[in-house]
Amino acid sequence: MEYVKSAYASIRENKGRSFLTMLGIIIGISSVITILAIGNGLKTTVGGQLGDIQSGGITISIDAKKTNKYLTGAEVRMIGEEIPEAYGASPKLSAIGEIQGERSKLNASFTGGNEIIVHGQRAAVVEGRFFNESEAESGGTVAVLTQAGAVSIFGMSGDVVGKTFEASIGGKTRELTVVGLLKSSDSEIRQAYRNVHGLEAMFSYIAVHVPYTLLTQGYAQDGERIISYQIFPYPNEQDPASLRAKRLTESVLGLRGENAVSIQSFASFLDTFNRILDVVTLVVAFIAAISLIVGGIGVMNIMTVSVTERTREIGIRKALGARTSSILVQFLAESAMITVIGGIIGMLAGYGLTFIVSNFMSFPPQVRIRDVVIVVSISASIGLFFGIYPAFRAAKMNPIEALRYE
Amino acid sequence: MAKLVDVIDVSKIYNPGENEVRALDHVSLSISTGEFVAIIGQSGSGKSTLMNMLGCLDTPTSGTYMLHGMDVSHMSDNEQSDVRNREIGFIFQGFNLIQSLTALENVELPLIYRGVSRKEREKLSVTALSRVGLANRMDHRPSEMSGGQQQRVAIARAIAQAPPILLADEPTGNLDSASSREIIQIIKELHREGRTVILITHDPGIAAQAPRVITISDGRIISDQ
Repeated sequence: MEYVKSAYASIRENKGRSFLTMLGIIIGISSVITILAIGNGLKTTVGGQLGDIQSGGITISIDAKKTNKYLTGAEVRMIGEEIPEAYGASPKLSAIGEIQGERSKLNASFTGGNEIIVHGQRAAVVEGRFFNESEAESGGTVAVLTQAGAVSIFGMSGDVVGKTFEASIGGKTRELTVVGLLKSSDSEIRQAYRNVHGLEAMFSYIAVHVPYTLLTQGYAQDGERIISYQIFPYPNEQDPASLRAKRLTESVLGLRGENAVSIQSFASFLDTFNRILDVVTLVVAFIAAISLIVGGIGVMNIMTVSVTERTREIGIRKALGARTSSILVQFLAESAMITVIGGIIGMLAGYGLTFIVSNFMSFPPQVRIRDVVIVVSISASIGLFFGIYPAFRAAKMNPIEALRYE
Repeated sequence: MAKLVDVIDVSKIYNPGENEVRALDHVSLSISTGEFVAIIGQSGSGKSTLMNMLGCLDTPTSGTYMLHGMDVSHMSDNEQSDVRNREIGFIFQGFNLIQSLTALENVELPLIYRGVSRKEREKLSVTALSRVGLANRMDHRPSEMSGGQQQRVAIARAIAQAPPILLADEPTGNLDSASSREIIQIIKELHREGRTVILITHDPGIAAQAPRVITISDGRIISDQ
């Protein structure tokens, strides 16, 4: 306790110098905190968005390098019906195109499937309905939008069933009729309104679900030959469902034992994504942590100067009966206090910075108690580590010479 | 009377070899409890070395130093620190107060190293500061006090935990004559109260205040009366 008091007194005695020394630690800690928080926020947001897009679906793929066999839409449907652990199976085609909005052309991302693909949507149908089997198989010119998409195209988030819009893919334009709306979150809807009113230009694609046959027939897109489709298992049935889908596919195509059919669950994809993001975050945080080392050397430097300046004080303390360890602890306490105070200021600055950055990047920063604990212990260890050398110099001083020092 | 300090055939040699300096040359000396001894000598006579030795700040090259019945001549640094803390109250020429601490905190310092509880520490320090007439200056820092006052704080620090020996090294060297008289007066009073006082000085006038005067020259004791 006495050591903490004495350390605090000595830091106060040299406020300006102590603060400058802390600055290195403050910058280091705040950049590490900011990077970790942004990384975590990014993971949650992107993971959530990918989850919204893909939720529940497991992709079954036929390796085009090993075989040139393929499935038809009807075969996919039939495989789906043969899997008791799943809602069914659907082809999944994607295409990028444009939609004629009220004022301008809008970018759109079209997902083609049969009616089963509705089970892959986490969002509920809030208005109208999903397209049905006959529309799915006959190239029906129908579309299911999200509420946010409806805002972008029609300027309203509801009451759009029955409305039509022009959509172009690969130079072909068709008029599509809205049959249903999927729910969007309030913030997505707000964002869409801001875009419409030109308050904020966001580069985004409007998500449109259409029958896969519309893409293949209506727009002449590739995809008649299906080498990849999705199944939608019941909760907790992912493994048996995907295994059965793999076997069924192999038997339909006569590919048994050729290892040409593979399963890609979204969960494993998300896993990989998260791992990569973790590594990237850590590497960047590590680079930021180098500034902590530089800060630590600053602490060592200033403590060495301080020890020299206070040679006489050390001599006095020793003459009065301070043991080597008392002097050691006194100076270690001082350097640790500098870095811990610096670390706490850096943490607050880091969180402040994170909140500012997150305002521009439209995802919430994640502040974790674990990080706080880690930051405080890291800064204390930096103080202790870089304080060792000067503290030892102080502790090892000869009292007679120290007392004689002017 | 019991022997408090017993220096037996002590030598201190710096730079052993061709350019060696014999700061102390076979010195023997005893001081009993309750004595007031002045050690006088010119600069370079070895009196500072003797004072460092008596204060357990230094160890002899050869010979034995018994303090309070303990052989302190071969102790480790930490053991010496403990002995200094327990046995000796230092009064230095340059006061040697810590500038960033108040008078009270300076007086508390040796008590902290002794492990005295906060409450007890404060009580002892206040008593010691009152004893030297500085009860109203306890929260002042050294820079806010005159030299005489600073030296009184140092005396308070030396007597706060009532060590057996007061070791004063040129205590008036940095003071004007009025303050010097005041300090010598306090030291004499402390002696009258029963403390053992060792006063190191180069000034015969000050040394004459002590009943026993030891003169040192070229590392040897040349008179003891």
